[in-house]
Amino acid sequence: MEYTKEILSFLAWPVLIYVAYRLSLVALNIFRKNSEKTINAK
Amino acid sequence: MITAQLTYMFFQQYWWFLVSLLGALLVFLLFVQGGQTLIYTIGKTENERNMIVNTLGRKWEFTFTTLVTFGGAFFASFPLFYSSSFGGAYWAWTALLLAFTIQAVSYEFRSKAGNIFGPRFFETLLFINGLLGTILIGTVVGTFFNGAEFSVDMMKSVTWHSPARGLEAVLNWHNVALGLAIFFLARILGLLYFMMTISHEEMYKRAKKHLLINTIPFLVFFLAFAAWLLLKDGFAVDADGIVFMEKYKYLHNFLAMPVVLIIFLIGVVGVLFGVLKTLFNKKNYDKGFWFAAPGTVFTVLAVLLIAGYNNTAFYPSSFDLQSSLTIQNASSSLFTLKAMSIVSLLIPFVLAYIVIAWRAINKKKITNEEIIDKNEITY
Amino acid sequence: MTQLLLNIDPSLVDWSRAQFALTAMFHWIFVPITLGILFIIAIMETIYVKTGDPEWKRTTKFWMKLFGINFAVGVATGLILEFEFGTNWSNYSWFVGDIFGAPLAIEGIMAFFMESTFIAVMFFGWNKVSKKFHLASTWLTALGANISALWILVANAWMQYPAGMEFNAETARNEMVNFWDVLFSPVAINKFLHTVTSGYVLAALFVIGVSSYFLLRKREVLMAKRSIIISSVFGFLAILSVIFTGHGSAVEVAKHQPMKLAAMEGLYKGGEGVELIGFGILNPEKTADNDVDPFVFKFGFKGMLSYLISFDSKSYVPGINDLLKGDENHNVISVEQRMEKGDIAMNALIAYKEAKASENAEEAAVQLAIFKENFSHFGYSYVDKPVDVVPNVPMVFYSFHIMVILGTLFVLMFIIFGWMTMKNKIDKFKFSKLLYYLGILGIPLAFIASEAGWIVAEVGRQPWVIQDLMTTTAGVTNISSSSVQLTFWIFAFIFTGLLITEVSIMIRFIKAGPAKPENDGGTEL
Repeated sequence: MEYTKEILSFLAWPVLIYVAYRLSLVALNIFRKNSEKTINAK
Repeated sequence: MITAQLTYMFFQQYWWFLVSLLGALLVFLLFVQGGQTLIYTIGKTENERNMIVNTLGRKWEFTFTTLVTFGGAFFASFPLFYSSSFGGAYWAWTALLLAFTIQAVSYEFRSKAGNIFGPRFFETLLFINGLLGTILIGTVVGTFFNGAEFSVDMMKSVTWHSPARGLEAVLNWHNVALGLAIFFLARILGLLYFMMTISHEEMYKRAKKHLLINTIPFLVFFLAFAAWLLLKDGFAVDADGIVFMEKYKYLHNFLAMPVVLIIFLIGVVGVLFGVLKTLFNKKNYDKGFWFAAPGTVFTVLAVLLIAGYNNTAFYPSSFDLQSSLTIQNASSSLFTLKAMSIVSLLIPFVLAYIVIAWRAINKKKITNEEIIDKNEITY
Repeated sequence: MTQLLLNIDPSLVDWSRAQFALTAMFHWIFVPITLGILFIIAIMETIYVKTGDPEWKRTTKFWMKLFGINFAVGVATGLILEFEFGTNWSNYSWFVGDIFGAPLAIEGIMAFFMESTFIAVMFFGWNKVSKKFHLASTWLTALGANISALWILVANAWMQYPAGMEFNAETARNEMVNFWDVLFSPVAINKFLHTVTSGYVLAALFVIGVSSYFLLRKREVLMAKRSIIISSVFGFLAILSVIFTGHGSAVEVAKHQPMKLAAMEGLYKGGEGVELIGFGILNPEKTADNDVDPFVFKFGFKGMLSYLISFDSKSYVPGINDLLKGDENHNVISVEQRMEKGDIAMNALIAYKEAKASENAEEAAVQLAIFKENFSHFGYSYVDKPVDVVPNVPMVFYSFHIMVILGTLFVLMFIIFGWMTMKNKIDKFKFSKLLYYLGILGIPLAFIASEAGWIVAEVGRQPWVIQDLMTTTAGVTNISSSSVQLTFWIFAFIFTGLLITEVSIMIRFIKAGPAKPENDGGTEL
């Protein structure tokens, strides 16, 4: 199709938001574990 | 060829209808502006004023958005109007824009710590917006019937022939009568809106008293405008696109399009019924808004429809009759109108979610307790 | 230059441009925060709804209030911006209204109502609607804001690369013939993604900066750390997109606006295998007419510009002088030739109109054919002398390089802030304080980079209001220069007042911090 490339790049936009959400969850999880470690060390 | 022309005309008429509808919705939503001119009239204590600002503050975005969309839709469907009126009547539009620029922020800043100028200042800005915003819109729309001093050349470049660049519209009492009618109508709607959304005995009584005070001047200005409109000569267009003056043109338009006349009459009755029922009801009747608001939409819609339909020039030039804009010579291309029309199919969905959100927020009336609770986000 | 426009006062064009630039740059202070922070807030609220942790609700509400302070000024300046096309650029409005108006109207119908409807639910609905309805409203507000950006950027992209249209000599305007070509023009897609994701970067840096302040003061530590983590992830992904689409945009600029590209790089003499300037200082003496070395100092990467534009380090990139004087070996037509062709087009259009008026169909057809053949140079008929098609090179060059350098810094910032916080070491190492100051400094830097981007895009395309078809001189409203001057100062006064008030309120609000935890218990850490 004529606009395939453009439509695909356009779809990258919602994907970016979704990936940001999922990766945030992962990062927050790591942060939670690390901060628990810090508290236990005290 | 003939069918192509018919299709084109259909879309031009459809878009004039949509633009008129947006204009009508805008005038209805000016209840926010009308209410802003009554903050001190109805709100005697700080808490009461907070209730007023907060009940209006939930709706200001609608008015604002409708104004922006009205501009965008006009640009897209009748670009020649956009380029001739906005650039030509420069000072009238700029004044109108400024009157709205100061509104949006006033809600957000009014009660916040560190706002430098204090709440009174922002309440004054809201008042100015309510006063100028309504009167200027009415006055500018008045030129749809009275004409403006511009000419359009071969390349569609516009020259404005009054040094006041649009502000000269206030010199015509007919324009100003419409402006003042809209100002008082907005106040009426604002008062009815307070009665509907604020739970407060004293404020209700005050609003009722002022409802009467505002209805009288509204009727005077509105009837003056309407009578004059029906009796005046209008800007008619013949089959070759030549503009000429026709006696009783707008009266003829109503008679030629009985549906529009009926819409107009229903609208006027709706506004009056909403007001009178509230005034003469012994109990605290609070639904008058829901008669007056649609009444406003119908009335304004009908008035704007007769400005453009039935071979009428909707933006006439009093300087050079043949420069007048009609929905044929000012419109976008058929392709653009068609594309836009497909997008306009979204409008019912937009209206649907607006209704859902409106109801969700206005389910309960505003009370004193809610305003005092600082954990709620309030203006 | 044709006889039509001789009476336009040059200072009118300058003041009209100044006024538009003023409005746009003020608007762009508030909009990028809105575009990005709404998604950050939506992510936070999603986590709140999923976990039920009241601390997340507090965090969400804090950023939401900060967003609320910022929102209204963006709306106010946006209103002015939309109507300025009509008030100050009325000839432009007619010339392109058939294409340009549509995105603006669609923006209103599709996006603004969505944004303004759900924003009311977002602010006032906490105790009135269900948690899920509220969360949906937050996401829809974010979506609405971003979709409105889509349409206005489509409109802007069209001015840089007018696609999907044909000129109608009958009505003397450009008319849309293909809606999808307008929406899916490669310039539009790149511009949309580049601009909104740059807004995400700015919003992420804003959140990191404010959070750094809290960490510096050892207050709201948990909220600050969580906010930094989400913003770093979001900002990092966003800046990858900014880099990728920035490159995409440059490729499009090379195709459609070679003069802009040359100005971005300070490239006077082009050729094959052109270097990319990493940074440099321009020689203020340099003009297109003299032989002075354009740079006082520079450091660059050999063949890199050629490579980036076409993935071939030997490819040809024209410089400012090549574009002015033409380069036959590479099919570059000189500006003088284009001006001649532009005049032919303009005269043919006038002759066509006259022939039409006197009902000479044959002559009209001949003139129309001449016009169409030369239409791609039409705008050059408004150009006085060739050198007028060169934009302000230092402004474009420095803006471009500042944007790129700061962008690189932001990549590092997101990595460092994200990593250190995730490891929970951000407040436990030697340079903690330094990092916090860097975070706070990130806020103004983000604004500088963001505004610089618009300077590249808009100053870089001067004198064109529509690339190759209409100059700013031809598009401007015919009004006295003093009127525009007066409105310029009125706007400047009001906008500055708004900005000062907003910053003052924001600072007070940030210092006060989020609301006290609600009674249903806060979380430790």
